[in-house]
Amino acid sequence: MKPLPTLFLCAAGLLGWTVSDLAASSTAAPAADFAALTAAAEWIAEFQVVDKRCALLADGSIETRYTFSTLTPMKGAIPSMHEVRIPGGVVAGRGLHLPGLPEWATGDRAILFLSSAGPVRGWRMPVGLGAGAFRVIQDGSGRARVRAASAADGPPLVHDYDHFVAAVLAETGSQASR
Amino acid sequence: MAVAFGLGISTAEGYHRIVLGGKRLKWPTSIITWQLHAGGSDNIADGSHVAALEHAFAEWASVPGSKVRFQRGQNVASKNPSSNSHVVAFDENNGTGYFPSGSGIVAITPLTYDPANGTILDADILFNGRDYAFGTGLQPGSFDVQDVATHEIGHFIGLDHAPSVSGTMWPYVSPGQWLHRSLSEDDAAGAVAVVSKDLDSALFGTIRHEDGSGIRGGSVYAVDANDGRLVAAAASDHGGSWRIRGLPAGDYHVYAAPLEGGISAANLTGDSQVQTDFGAGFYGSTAAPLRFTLGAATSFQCGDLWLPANNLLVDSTSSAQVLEQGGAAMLTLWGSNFSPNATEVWSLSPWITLSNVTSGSSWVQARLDVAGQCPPGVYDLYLHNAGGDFEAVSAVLDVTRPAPALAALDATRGGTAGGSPVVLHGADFQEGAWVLFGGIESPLVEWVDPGQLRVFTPAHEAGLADVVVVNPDGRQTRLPGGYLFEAMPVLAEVFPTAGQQTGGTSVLLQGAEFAPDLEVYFDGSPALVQWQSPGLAKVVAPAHVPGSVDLLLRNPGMPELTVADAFTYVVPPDPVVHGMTPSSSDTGGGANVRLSGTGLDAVTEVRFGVNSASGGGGKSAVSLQVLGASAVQAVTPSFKTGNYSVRVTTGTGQGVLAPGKFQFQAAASSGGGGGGCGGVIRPGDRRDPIGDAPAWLLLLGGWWLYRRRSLASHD
Repeated sequence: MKPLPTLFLCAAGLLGWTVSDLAASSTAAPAADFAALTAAAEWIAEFQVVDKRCALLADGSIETRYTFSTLTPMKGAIPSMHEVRIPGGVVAGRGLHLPGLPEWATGDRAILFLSSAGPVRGWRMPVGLGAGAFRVIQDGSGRARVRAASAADGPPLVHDYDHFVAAVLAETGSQASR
Repeated sequence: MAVAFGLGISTAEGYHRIVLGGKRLKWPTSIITWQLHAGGSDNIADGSHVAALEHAFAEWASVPGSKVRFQRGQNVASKNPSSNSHVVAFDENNGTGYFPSGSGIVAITPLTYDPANGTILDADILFNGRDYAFGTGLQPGSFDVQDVATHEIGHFIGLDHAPSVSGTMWPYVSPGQWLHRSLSEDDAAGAVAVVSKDLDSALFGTIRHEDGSGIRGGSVYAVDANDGRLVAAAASDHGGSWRIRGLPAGDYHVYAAPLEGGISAANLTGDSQVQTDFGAGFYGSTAAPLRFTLGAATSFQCGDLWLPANNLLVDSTSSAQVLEQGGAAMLTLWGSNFSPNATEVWSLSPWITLSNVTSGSSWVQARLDVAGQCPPGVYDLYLHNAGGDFEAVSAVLDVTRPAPALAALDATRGGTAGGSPVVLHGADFQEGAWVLFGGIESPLVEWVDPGQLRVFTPAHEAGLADVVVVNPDGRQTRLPGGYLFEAMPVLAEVFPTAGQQTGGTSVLLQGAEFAPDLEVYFDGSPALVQWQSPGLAKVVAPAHVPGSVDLLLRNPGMPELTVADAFTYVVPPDPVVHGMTPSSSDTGGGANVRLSGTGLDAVTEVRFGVNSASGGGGKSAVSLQVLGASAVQAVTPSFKTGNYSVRVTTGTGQGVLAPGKFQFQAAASSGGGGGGCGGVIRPGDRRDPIGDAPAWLLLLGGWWLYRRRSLASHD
């Protein structure tokens, strides 16, 4: 599946940036690509997966219902605890897979740029699929790091957590003030 | 691109197969039929997207060494991605739900698969026509249909995104991009890899014209010689050679037929490779087909099959007849050059009987009877006309097991936490059946026999849920609203918290998840319950000796909730309020209200603005004066307009809602003395020595009395 072209630039930029590059770029003109990702998302936050259930819908499609705890809201009015429905999952001996769409397990932490919920099924999508999903992990020294969600979308370069969040908040704040 | 190369990504082995649960996704057959949604694209008026899509499929099918092949079926009207047809569609209004606003997704390929073995069951390609423009002429601002489709077809056959930026499976695309119309070596290697390695037993041979030349694009079919099921098919190559892979060990009849009639050469992407100028025929003869015995993990050379010249007997039946084991139906086949009342039709299956055969020049009709022991699967029928021409009607009959039937559950309600045992009664349950409650799969299903399944309910939100049994063959049954998920009750507030030992106290319980048949027990003794709503119940306390007791709440069949010392029995009778005067006040408060009744001498709080139903909310009176056991006088607080109840509470925790409503109304606009001046006591109300005192003095006296009683009770 193919995301928005501007997100190609965004993803390439994120892959190429060092931690300091990312922070610098988000406060300067080259942040335009990151801006597109931020602008498209209705919700941006660091979430923790509290619960995950797959459901077979009446029309035969499958969705995964994630219960997210919002750890760090960055854009949008996001409840502290809420359910996000995303297509895909395994139930009743059938699986539905969307290539490029990341999945999370209970306990995972992630920074997600989420679309609005569609009116048809209420599904949200990470903006640009893998481009709008980042895993929050800890390195060997216990420091929080941010990594692109899908290894297939590029090498798993890791960014400093604090700088990444600061970059997102700066961009969100910049857009809100325009 | 510099980033990718700089990181040393391989360009030789860059493809990624989709691996889920340790299983690589793969199609069960090498020929995959796709269908185009008839609506096309709103951006493309000339229909050129059709050729673009066909070329995109052909690009993958042309990879040397790859067995992946496609054929195009008839256009479809539905773009429901959950159906079993493999649809390519432009979603112009997000009717599929896959493109919520802001998703940034240009196209998507939902893959339905069997988690047990990775077999792809369905795949669709959806273009986001609502948010993006598509074209075929590389117009500025438009995404190229062929470029995008070639990428999505990679997913369609089981390939994931690949890190080679020059490859078709690179995950990003730009308007006007055409680079990914053609495959890179990585992509081509992926096309070869997706052919299942399980396909290790094969029949092979060559089909030839009468003159000995090879037949291109002929369809060759393997039929189980014991039960007549059509097992697999393949197409011959340019020299007439064919190979059917992935066959289980067994005995087979093999026949070949031209691709014509209901499915024609025009449906294939590589239509220039298809020849139809020959007649169908079996290895051996139609009357006595040869039997080829294939061992496990072996290949068997069937040799050459010389096929007759083309004949005019053509079947054009385009839909299959589905019959359950033991079923019967009248079947009509359509075509040309049938022989009126002289067309012969037969099956190779010993379990299928045809009778009452009649025919015209373009049809033949027969009664089909399928024996109860007929193995499920697809079956051919075969035709002879009076001239001796032969035609195979491939896969025209689909025999299925009976659909499961769900009659009843031994328990129809349980907790939202799941884990409740339930026995399902019905018929034709198959081993390996799944059970879903409201779409959520049961965590444990035990097949007892065809009429009984034992399951445990999954966790599910409160409410009625459909119960669905899905047999492994895909047939299912649904019992709408067959199970009620109920939550364990939650108790938030009790009023009053104490009552007379003789019982009869009306107690309001506020909380959540109260079932209509909620049970309430006071220290084990059942209370009379009047359910009001999932959040409110009125109960009547039973008699009990003085002292604190536990309250137990239970929705039938659910775990119970016990709240320790939630209610106290006391000796004094409960207070009773008979009436109140006046029954209204300005919103500014300050009105003197007299409540009359019995047992009021112990009142410690009068609360105004109380919710009439729940007994909650409101504000305490500004001041309170106990006038004896039969009356109290309270000054209203300020409160918003509306009709409310008044709540009286004693120092023991006993209490009652006063009958009738108390109204807070907007203050009348007047020249003087209005607007919240509610503290003035009217002369007619004064019957005590301080009757002429100003209102503040009355309030002060009330406060003094209140403090005295309060202090006394603490002593």
